[in-house]
Amino acid sequence: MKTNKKAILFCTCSGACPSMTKIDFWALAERVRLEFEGKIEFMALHPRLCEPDGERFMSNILKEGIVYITPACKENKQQKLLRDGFEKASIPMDADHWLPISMALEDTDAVFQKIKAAVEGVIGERQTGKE
Amino acid sequence: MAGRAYMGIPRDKIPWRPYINPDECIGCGACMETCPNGVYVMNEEAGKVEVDAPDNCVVVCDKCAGFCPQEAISFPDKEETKRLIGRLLKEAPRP
Repeated sequence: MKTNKKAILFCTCSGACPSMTKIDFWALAERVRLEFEGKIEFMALHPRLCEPDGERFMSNILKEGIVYITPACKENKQQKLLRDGFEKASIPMDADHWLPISMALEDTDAVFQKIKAAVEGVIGERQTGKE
Repeated sequence: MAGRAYMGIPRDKIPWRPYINPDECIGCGACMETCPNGVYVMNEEAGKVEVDAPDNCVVVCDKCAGFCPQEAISFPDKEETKRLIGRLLKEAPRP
């Protein structure tokens, strides 16, 4: 089911991941909150979505009818590492439900621009699809 | 990567890292495909994976081990590591 609704779910990889040392997660979260107020359903940060507590978190909050944008490690790594969380939430990891974003080796602004493109892309694509 | 820290604890004070049993490793690279932090490297000559950057391993992350078809990867005891982190946090100077 295609939807315009979006949510952003960060995995900050413990906050100490060597590939994310250039990211100020709190500044990024605040910027996302300010920029996308009213455009997304919610935003959340979790330090480790790939661990059992992160997977329980996903199983509790993910639901049908929302595209989940996940800024985290590289997209192909997310495919493996977030698999169990999506599975426990019974949400398929397909383009109608999931849009991964790699934060690996990026800085705060670069990640923000990727998120912005993703949010606007989802809006644009869905609106185009409706017309 | 000198100077890195986990919750304010110098990374080198936390002995969390993977160990590969070379007798079991078949060099499939599943661990390398899973780990986002370049912990592993393929030894092409031996046809086996080796741990190249142990301190790049995210503390108490052992996700790669679950993807190893040979169960060749092991880690220190997770609960003991959590207890150590708790002790180190108590000992850490307050700002």
